[in-house]
Amino acid sequence: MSDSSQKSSTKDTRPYSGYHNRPVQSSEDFITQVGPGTPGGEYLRRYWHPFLIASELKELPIPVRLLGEDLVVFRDLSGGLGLLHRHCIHRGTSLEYGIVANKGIRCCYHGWHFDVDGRVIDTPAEPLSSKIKVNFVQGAYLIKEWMGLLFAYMGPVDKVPELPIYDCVDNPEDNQPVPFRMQVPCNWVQIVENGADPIHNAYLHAIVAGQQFSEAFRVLPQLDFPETPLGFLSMATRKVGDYIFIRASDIILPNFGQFPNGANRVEKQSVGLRPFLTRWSVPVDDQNSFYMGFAHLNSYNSSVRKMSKEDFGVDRIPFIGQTGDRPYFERQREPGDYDAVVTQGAVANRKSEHLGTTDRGVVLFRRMLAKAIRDTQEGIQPEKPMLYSNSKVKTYCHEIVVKAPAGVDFSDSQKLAEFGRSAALSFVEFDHLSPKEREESVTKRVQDMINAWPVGPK
Amino acid sequence: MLGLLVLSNFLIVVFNMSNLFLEKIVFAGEVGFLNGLLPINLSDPKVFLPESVEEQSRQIMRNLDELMIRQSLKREQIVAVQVFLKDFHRFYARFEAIASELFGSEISISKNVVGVVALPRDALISMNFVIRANL
Repeated sequence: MSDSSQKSSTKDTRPYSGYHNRPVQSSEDFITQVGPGTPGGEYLRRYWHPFLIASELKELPIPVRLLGEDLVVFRDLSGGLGLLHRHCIHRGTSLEYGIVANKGIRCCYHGWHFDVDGRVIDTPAEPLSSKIKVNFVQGAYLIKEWMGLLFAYMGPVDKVPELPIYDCVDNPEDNQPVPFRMQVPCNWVQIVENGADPIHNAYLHAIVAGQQFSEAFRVLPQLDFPETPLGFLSMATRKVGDYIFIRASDIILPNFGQFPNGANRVEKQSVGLRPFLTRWSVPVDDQNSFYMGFAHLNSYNSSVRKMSKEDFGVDRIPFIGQTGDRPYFERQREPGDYDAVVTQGAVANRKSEHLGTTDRGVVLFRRMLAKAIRDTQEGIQPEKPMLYSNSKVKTYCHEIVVKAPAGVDFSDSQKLAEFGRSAALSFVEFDHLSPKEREESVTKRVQDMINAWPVGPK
Repeated sequence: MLGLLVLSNFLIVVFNMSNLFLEKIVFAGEVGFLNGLLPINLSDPKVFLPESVEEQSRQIMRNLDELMIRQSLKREQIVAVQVFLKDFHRFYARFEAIASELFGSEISISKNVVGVVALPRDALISMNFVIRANL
């Protein structure tokens, strides 16, 4: 007896064959689970993750949920930051109702007093002979602040990595990072995959769902995903009018991404190692996430899109379709990233997908992520953004607009793709230089490549 | 005309039963009323609403200015504002953070803010204003 619900899709190609082609229900959770003890959760616990804008934390504790764990964050009266398991180890009262002390926090119920590192300072109702203080601790995690964001490390305390300090904040000189935090009711992997999918910029943001990016994005690009030391570039190369336009986003495992702005009108030559958004896709739990980080306000980004720091904040970013706060029928008429990603499902059903050639970035990310998770299971430390000789972690997100040589036939899309790849990878080749020097070196390299056309990139 | 249905101590459904896009401040003697002002684009209501509660608040104030100028009124003549917020717990603090930007910190305006279940056009915010005829 046949059971249509058990059939895999794509076998029956008759019209009106919905009965025979129902989506296979997915139980795929290896890369999506984030909770304690899960393979993916253990891997993610080898990294620092942002979880709150520092200015959100005022005098009272805030309950937070991160990697499937209920926690409470507070700043004690001495300025110390604490991130503790939310429920008091005594009888389980939530420490969001704790009283912040000069040092640490005191549970409201029986006054148990915990330091920011979880050590028990006092159990006032217990006899002086009580050993509770030395025998138990409240679960606590390391917490640091950088660029207006609070970061947590929730992994083994004997394997604490450096908090990565990225080079993207330094260039150009007038750069002003402004933090933001957006809640998205879906699994974190979907948010990363959206960034590893540059063809959606053409369709969702230009051709199908409204002119959200500049008109240059209506030109279908050549895609490429060259690997970088800690991940890969999700890049698109287009011939727009008289120019070649290369746009490359950083995908750095596990959940770091950087993206140029989508407003470049491709009207003049430029080379910019200058992301518009630096962001992390942060798992709240399996079915909820934040994407958060900072926007780069500077003369480069503001030259194509006017922005102010007031445009960014909690659930606030000046780009259509990033929240569920829009009227439903407007979202239907001009859907954005939020609508595309959230409606894949709280955890996308990957077994029912039909991937195409433009999904190479998505596939590459899944493979890299799965390998990193397996490595972690086998006790192999995953690669991490490291600081070398006090320099910052190198990143590669960039845009290049260069005048195309006259008289060259660009119908050879492969040549265009190779040009884009070579130009983009020159940012990796020169990554021993400062961001400004890298821009200068890449500008020269790209011009040399143009001069060598049609011989093309070596 | 604005209809209110009290569902609980905290939740009120607002039915805007008159023209959705009010374009006039109605005076009764010396007191004017402008109810149900939405963050629409007055010149083209089909334009999408701004996405954030902050931008929707600013759009309402732009609409207010436009309607007041039409009747030769000034911001200083505003006596009271009643603010209706969808998803009160998410948006109240964010609205209050920009309240002085919207209404000024010098001018004394009677203000209250109410949480509602839904608003016309699925807006996040709507405002009623009371305006005196003369300074």
